[in-house]
Amino acid sequence: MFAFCGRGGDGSLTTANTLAGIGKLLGVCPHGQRGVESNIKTEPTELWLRLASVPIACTSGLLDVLVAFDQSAIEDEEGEGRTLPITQMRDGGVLIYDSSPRLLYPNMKHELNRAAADAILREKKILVFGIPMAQEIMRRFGANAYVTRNAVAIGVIAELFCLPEKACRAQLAREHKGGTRLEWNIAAYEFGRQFTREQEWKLPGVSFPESAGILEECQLTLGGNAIGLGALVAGCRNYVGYPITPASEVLEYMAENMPSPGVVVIARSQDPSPEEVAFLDRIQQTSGVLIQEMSELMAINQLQGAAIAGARAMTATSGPGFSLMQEGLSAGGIGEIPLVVVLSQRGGPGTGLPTRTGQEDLLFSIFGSHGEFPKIVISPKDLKEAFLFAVEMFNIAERYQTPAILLTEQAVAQGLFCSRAFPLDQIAIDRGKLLTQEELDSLCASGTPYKRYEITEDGISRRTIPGMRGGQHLATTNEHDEFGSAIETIKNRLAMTHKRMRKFEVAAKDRRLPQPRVFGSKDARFGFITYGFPTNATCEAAAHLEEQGTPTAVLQLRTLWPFPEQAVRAFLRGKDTCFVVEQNYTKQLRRIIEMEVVGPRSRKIKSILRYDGRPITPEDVLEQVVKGGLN
Amino acid sequence: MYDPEEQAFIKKNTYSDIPLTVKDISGKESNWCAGCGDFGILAAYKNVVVKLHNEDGVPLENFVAVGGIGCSAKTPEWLAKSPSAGNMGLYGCHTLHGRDLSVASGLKMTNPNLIVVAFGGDGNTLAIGMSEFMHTCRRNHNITIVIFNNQVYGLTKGQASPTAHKDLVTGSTPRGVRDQPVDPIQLAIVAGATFVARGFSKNRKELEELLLAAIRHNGCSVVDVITPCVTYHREEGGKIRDTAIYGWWDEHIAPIKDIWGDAKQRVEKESAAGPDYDVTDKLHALAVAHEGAEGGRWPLGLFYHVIGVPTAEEVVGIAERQPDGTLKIHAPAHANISVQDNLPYYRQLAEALRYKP
Ligand SMILES: Cc1ncc(C[n+]2csc(CCOP(=O)(O)OP(=O)(O)O)c2C)c(N)n1
Ligand code: SF4
Ligand SMILES: [Mg+2]
Repeated sequence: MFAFCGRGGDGSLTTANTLAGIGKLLGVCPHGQRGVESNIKTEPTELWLRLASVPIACTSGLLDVLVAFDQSAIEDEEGEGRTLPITQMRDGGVLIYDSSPRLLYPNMKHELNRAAADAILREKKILVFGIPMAQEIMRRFGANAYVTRNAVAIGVIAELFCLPEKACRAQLAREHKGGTRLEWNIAAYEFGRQFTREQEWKLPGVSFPESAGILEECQLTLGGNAIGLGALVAGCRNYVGYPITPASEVLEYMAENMPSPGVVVIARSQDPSPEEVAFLDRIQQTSGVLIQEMSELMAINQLQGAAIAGARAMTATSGPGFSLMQEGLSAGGIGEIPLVVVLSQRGGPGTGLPTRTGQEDLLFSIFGSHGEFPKIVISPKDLKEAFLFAVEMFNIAERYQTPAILLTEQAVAQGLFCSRAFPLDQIAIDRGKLLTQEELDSLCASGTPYKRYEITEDGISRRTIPGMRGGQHLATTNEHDEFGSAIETIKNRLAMTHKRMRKFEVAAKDRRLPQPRVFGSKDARFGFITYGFPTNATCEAAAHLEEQGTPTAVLQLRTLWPFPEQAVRAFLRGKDTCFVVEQNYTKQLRRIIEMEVVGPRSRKIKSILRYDGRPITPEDVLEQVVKGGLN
Repeated sequence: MYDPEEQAFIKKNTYSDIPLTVKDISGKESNWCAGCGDFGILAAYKNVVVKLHNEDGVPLENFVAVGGIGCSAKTPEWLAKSPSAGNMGLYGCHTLHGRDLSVASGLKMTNPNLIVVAFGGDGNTLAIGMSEFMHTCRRNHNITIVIFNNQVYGLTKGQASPTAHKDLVTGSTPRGVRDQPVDPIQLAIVAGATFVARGFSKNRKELEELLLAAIRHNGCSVVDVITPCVTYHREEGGKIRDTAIYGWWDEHIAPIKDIWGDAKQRVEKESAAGPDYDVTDKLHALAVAHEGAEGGRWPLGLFYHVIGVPTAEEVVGIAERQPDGTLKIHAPAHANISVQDNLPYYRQLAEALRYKP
């Protein structure tokens, strides 16, 4: 487990990515988390990187190696109450720091003073390796080379862990495409290695993970990219969004990869081969558009238009934008429009912690928006689920003709994960009761007038899109009759409310919605219930408890609304204690469990919470288990 | 102008030869107050739809009427299929207050074959929906925006709208309006609309011509229509349900040519086009709109019309200009999304995520 700390702009992210890349070349699975402040430069930044033989999806609270580019790793200079990375080191770990004397540029205030952490360094018997990273690089290449000082840390790590030269150089070359930048980086890296050898630094007790040989077939990327790919494979051909952290990854992924006719024009070479022509023609036939909208209000309503027109369309946002979208979601509820919205949670309220994780919007995602309408909320825990659930969102939204929300969080959207290859050829597209022109023609020929909001047993009506002959109707936000015409009679109001809510009852029994999953010992008397990212840390904590002789089970809820009440009830049967693990203060998931299953005063249920904006770790879970959790 | 290639394409695929009549698209009876100006706009639009269908060959199912929220924005309701009227009806969207232009652009950006016309009040489009209005004009979406300009919020029973003139007494301004009114014409021109006109609901013939030209125009068209609210727009001494408000409007409007006389001094130096009003000259258009606004007389007619400016749909490539000038449409709503057919592309994308931090 590694952490890289400095100020924004110090290259902590670059260093983490370089090491992840080297790991990848060596067949080792990385998992990375960002702890960055909501600005571009100068505030303390922490990057967490864990390497393992098999895919893991959470960081550990026990650091083996801490790389400090400045004082923020070991001292809370401004008294912000941060949990200092140094306090999270395991006994006997190693601190590698830039020991350059008072720097001239650019973070001169932040010269590292290890005396500030002397007590803790001694107590934990931490090996301290100081190396004048910036000083040496600037001496050799001048002030501009300052930015490459982080490659020195890579050199030190490479030497300590005996990483092969080839992989390290290949990764650096891949990141810095030639030129002086590469030259400086290589020199910095070599200096790191050489200095480590000269000082005879050694790192007892930890070794670099072995390759299990599975990485070849793996995807290795951010959750946000997997959501984007899932959406494209599901047939999303209109992405509308307003940039917001931590949902911009999805926007940018879609911007880059949305098949578009414009791209085809540019790509066609002078003398294209037949395969190229066929490929480009196929792209042209599957063209879509990406729109960076001017606000979330515009995004959600533009999405309505696209969905009414029959395109598979999506937007992604975070809390502040989701707040602005509430009226539009509600409109989609009554208009029975398949709206697909990704909500990537961050710490709130207000602007809150824009770049940090949290699960504060579970209740909001379920109960937000005025009025009553069916809404479906599903949540992935890692990369593979992010991909699969993104696909499923479109099927769900179109099957039930209602808003569907993919509830995720910063730790997933911006976390670096490794997972088995996405099963592209197993993806199925279900457009629900969307009629074809032929079906509509035969319906019209039978003499029945087409009714967009026809009252049916399952509450779902047949859908047409503008341009289809005979399918004319009004898509509306008013209460309406079966044709879409505004009407306020009691009889109609009740019939339409019941029709819409019947869809929800049908969805609650739909096994095609992501089903809850149980990990660990099925008949354990001790369990956890959780959803989303904390599932990963919880499962790891559970495995640890098992190892120590306590049979433990974990229930991961994957569809959150309609609430999988029966699965929770079944899971709780036979449990003496059950911890609900989530990243908020108000125990939102637990409240739903109480509301839907156990009632408010169940003694069985306890809470494990973390709501400081940082991703929860297995150590957090274990520590709170020992303390007995919160009532 | 309405694109011939697009027209031929539509005709080939879906055009029905049966001539359309106004009755075919007249839905349930409207619930507007007797004497409301909105009737005139609805009637004009129905005639325009019939013309576009019967003359240009636009299939009925390609029209989409989009409304925001307001008395005016109910227009799509009266055009929709209704069993009591026994009509065929138009596709329509009755959306949210101020959000109709986003819905409209969403429809157009995913299916450029549709003829999208948005109907909204001055409150809908120029207050809560101002951002949508400016950006829709700016991007030059090939849609038509009809603003029902009555200086008040009709549906919420008579508060001031952003077009209300200074000192107008309304439910929300008992001591008279304090703010400057907005002029949708000047805004639309500056924002980037490529067809900008003003009509009067009473002058049906002229309004019909403007609407027809607006829809045929390939680009963003804004038609600001003066439509008296007989119930809530009361000038001093006015009574409830007072059609005398038509008389007040008559005194506060004038054809563009009448105002141009004074306005042209404003542009004489800058304009190369000479003393005649030129609809392709932004400065002429702004000068006459400004002159009218200053003098308290709203100019009526076609202010501004330029062709050849790429539309939003052309810019993103879904309406693709061919070498011969016609447009080829790639509607995202009709994209082939079969996983099987697109597997080579998806494989390429998945491959790129083998390592992408
Ligand atoms: C978000 C929101 N805020 C307020 C309203 C209430 N509302 C309905 S119509 C309207 C104003 C209508 O005025 P205008 O757009 O000028 O249309 P008119 O009725 O004059 O034709 C308002 C404020 C609403 N429906 N939605
Ligand atoms: S209130 Fe005014 S705008 Fe609304 S229908 Fe009546 S006259 Fe027309
Ligand atoms: Mg109005």
